[in-house]
Amino acid sequence: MRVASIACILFFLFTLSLRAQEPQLKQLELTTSPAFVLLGVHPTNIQRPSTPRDFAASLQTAQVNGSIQPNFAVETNPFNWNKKAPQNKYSFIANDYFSDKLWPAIKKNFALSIATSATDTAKFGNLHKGTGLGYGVRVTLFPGTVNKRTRNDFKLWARAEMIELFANVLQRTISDEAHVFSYQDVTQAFDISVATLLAKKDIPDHMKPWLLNELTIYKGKIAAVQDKTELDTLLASEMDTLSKEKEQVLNKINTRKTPFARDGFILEFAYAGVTLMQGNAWDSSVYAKSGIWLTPSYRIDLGTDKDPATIQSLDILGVLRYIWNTSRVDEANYLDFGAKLQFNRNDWNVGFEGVFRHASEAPAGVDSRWTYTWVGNFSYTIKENITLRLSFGSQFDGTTRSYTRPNEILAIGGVNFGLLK
Amino acid sequence: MAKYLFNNGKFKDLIIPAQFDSTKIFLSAEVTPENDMISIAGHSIIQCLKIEIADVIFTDHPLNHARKLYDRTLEVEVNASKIKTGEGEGNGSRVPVNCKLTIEAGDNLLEEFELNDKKSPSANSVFIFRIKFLQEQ
Repeated sequence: MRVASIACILFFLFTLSLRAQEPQLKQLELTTSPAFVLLGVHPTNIQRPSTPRDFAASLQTAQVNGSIQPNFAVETNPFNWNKKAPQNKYSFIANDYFSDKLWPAIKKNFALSIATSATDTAKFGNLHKGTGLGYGVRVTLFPGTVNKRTRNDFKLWARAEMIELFANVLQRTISDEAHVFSYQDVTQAFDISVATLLAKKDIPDHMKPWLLNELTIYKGKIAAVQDKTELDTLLASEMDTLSKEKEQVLNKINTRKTPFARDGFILEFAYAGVTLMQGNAWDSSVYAKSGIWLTPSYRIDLGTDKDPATIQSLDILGVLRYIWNTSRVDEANYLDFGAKLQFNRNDWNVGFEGVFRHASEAPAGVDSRWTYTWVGNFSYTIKENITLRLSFGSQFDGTTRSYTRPNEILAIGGVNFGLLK
Repeated sequence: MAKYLFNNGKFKDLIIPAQFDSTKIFLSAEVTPENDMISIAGHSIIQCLKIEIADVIFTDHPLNHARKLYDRTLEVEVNASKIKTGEGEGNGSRVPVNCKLTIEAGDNLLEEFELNDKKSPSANSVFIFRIKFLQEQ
């Protein structure tokens, strides 16, 4: 009842926000929220890690005690609060996008989450029905890399930008008719360009040694020209070519839907705990379970520049999870491991996953310590902040007390609403 | 690349009030896109007495004391590249940007000059401002 009330209030707020168009609404699914995962209300077990927003709230449906019920989650990254300085907020800080370093990745992909749901008695053993409060944290240990096409195009832009700057400075230096051209002018323009390169924030640090090399090669090319008029003509022609090169690669980047999407290997660590308020009463709250898990994933970008509007990728994901239960939930702890394959295209994705669960011990009379789940899922983004989800498969056999029961069939369709900042 | 020249490329006279004779003159430039889908990269060249390079967006760039600038010319070239950092269907290169050059004497605003590329937004826009400093008579 409490969950239903919260859901109604949130839905009302959601409709109000749609009318006002504030705050900005974008595609959102808190599917990877650890608090949701450990509550066991999400039909899928494995989701690709996503970059947390400053603040995000999500309302989605799930199957609880055999009926469809709304669930609510909020997630926030405190490192993003007040992150943007009022000045220079439109300047491109390259390291923010290209860095593969651990600490920036942790700061960017750190998220605290809280979720509530009516609790499923099959999943919470001997505890009475009530409201489950999930709380969790997730952090990305390996952030992946910006996709190869954008990396290559950006590299070309950075080269053209620096060589153009070098040529521009040199041309300005020799443009005065009274100026007598000497090699000193080339050295001076080179020094200015190098100093600028080292200070520039719109070029990632890891690219600078290569650009320094490119500038040196260009300096050598210019040094061979000794006639001022010839040099002036050469510089004008080069600047024109470089300018067109910049335009071309920027257009490639700018026509992609998400140019800085990351692919390759991503590894996320998550922790979550659940406290259950039996009978929806605070004084009957009991700690129920906690878990830690790793989610490795590898994304292959299948998009092409011939059709920049089409975004498609293939995700290969895994999960390795350990869950500690209190004895009233289950005498056993669980070790989960599984894999998932998911194809993503523009506004929809389709995936299939299988996860095995091994119980640390089994009560007398229960033959097997193993159970499993398999789920096929389809997700379609109807509107930027509304996602339709369909899942079909089988769930884990509840707890070890019921491991001899056949797997329960799961078939759920639902809509996910999101709000974010 | 599209070039945009303030005052059709002619030098714009900037008369500095006598009270700022011994005050240092500062420059600021900011390129602002129409939406937050794009961020701005690039460089600026400030040609006044000598060539200086600055970030495409810079604040409080010191020139000299006003009295040393009289009858001197200033050229600021802001070379702005648009890079789509947000998520969206449209071509980020077509997002118009506005370039504002601010000239201050100490903390006092002297003049603001603006250019935009709304006529023909492109991936790389260059904004050029030419100014001549004059002493108040």
